[in-house]
Amino acid sequence: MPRYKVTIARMGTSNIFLRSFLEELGFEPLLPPPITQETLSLGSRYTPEFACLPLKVNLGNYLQTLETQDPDLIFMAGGIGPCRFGLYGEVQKEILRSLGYDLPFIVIEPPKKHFTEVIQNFTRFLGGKFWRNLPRAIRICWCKAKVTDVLDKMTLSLAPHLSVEWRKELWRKRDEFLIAIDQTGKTGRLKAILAEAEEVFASFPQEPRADVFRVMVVGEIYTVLEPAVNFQVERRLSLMGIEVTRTIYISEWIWQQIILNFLRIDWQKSLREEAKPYLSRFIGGHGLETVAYTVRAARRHYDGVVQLAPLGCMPEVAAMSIIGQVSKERQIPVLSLLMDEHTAEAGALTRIEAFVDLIQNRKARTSSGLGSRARS
Amino acid sequence: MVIGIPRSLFYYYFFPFWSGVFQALGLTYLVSPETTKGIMENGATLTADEICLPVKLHFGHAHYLADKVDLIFSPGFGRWGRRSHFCPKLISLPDLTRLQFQGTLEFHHELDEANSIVEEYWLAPLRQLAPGVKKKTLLYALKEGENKQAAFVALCRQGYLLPQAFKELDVRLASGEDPARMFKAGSQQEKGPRILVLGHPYMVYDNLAGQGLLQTLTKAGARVFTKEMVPAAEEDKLWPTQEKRVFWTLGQQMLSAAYYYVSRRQIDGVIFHSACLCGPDALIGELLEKYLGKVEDAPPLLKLTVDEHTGDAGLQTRVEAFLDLLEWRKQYAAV
Repeated sequence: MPRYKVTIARMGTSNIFLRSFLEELGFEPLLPPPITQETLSLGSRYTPEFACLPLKVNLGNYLQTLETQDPDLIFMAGGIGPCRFGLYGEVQKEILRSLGYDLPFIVIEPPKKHFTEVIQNFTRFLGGKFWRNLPRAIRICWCKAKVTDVLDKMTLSLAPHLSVEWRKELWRKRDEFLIAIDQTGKTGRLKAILAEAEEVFASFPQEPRADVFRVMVVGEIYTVLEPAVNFQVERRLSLMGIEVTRTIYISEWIWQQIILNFLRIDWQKSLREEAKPYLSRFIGGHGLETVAYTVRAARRHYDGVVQLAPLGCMPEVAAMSIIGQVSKERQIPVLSLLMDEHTAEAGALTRIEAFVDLIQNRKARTSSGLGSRARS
Repeated sequence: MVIGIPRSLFYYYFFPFWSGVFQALGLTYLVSPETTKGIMENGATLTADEICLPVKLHFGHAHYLADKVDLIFSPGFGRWGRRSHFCPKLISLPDLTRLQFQGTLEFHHELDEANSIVEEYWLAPLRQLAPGVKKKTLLYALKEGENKQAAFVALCRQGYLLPQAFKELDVRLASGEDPARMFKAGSQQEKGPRILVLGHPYMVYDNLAGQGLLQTLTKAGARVFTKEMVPAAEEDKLWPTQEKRVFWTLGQQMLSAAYYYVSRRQIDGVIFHSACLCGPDALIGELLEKYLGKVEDAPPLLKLTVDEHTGDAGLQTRVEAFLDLLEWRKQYAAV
């Protein structure tokens, strides 16, 4: 069988482990260039105006890849609704065909209900070597996903305890380690990289700080994970010395959505209970999680919550109306940033800075006994 | 005890069922009036900017009812059949309403695989509305509602537009006839361009959101077809080029209706009427355009998107221009 060239869309650091996964399986992965304004405008030119941002950026990714390279296939994840993501494949396929790109568009549906179909989608192009290569592919894929996430967690938790200069150095080092993770093909090497990162981070001089502000980042998975569409909000907050708790990590998502769902293990129970006073049902996407985590953030006395979502994202718009109420009742500031291709960086940054000012002033007031939380 | 039913969202389809159930239990209800500018503006103030027009209208109607009734009926819409859903905003509707208004009760209007109502979601809230009533009576009331709904659906399939079907249903029920058994085609013109209007009933038939689309069409002598008129066996069929079923029931129904009428060459033009910021519509409109594009000699498609600022005249002009285009197309074909 020939070695098929496969392309995928980008999402945060996931291209690192997906590339290894496809390579180990026996494909030749072709990755789109990093997301820029060009990607956004190219994608939104051919997509409906009110479609959500990830659909537009995905299409931009495909078009940029197709301009310079010649993939044989496109791989894309599917879904069963009610979030629009589940229909991206069908829409993107139709748009690409209307533009004259007639290559197979393979949509991988959730394995819980489409197990044989998923397997067939791989064996079609790989034949017998799929089963032979699968264990190694899963191993490297999982290790890389895990290691990149651990690296990010380490970075986010260390940043608030460093001086401004060291924070910059920390993020620079994080980027370097990320490249090293991307370049290696051996699981043994990944452990060494992580150990090295731990050692380097431990050598940074920490400053004891009494007032660390804590912000929880909630919202829709793509906008949370892709810095190119969220104006690097996580990094910016972290560089300002704020302790950022991200609620979505890709390795956890894979574990829950693919493994636990496949085994029919109910991992969502505690989240459902936390959201229950405000939202009684699963509403698709990360809507329920957004509500649950906002409640949790208030309960754990976080200083604020940042919600990231594409403009018009159905689950997040519903969740947004609800967390507004959570914010009022439980006295926790919430900033909802809904993004599309027209969102100006300057505007978003001003809102983020104003939000940081707000939570800092609020804490100053609270500690001097004037704040509202002291009463509640 | 008065139940307030907002004249919004699935009032425009499930009202026969709801009213049937409440009547059978002897409960009084009040339906809010046709949408006015004031209702729309109130709705827009009560909701986030980012939410779609239909939900804004729903809140406007609920607000109108708030001080006139004891309870606002605002059910959630979740599952419809085995693999289909409504959109996330409609699933969370009871929660969204509860945050804004006093006196709500959690109803969920869900349909199971056989397209019949999921009774368990109705029994608990109905017990609160009608305390002391036996389960058997409640089940009987639900059955009454379902019968009324079935009669209404049958009228739609006979070619009645929704408001006519509502009216006809009442007339026939009052005269004691079985509405489902009588066959009398809807009162529409026989000539004139045949137009398929695709859109959510709560948009198309709403007095303001619909922007008089149907009136403009009928005044111009057009015959209007809607997805509600498609026979039951065809309402779920995929386009030959469609690789994935749309998991929103209404979305798939719109695509299937287009396929039904286009493949039978029964229509001259398609109007896709969608709400601003309606998530599913954004994708359905795109798919519709692409599927139609592959059909040889496909009927022209007009896409209209309405928000709370859309002016009446603009829409009317576009519809009239579209009808002119269909006329020229016909003459050109005849030459």
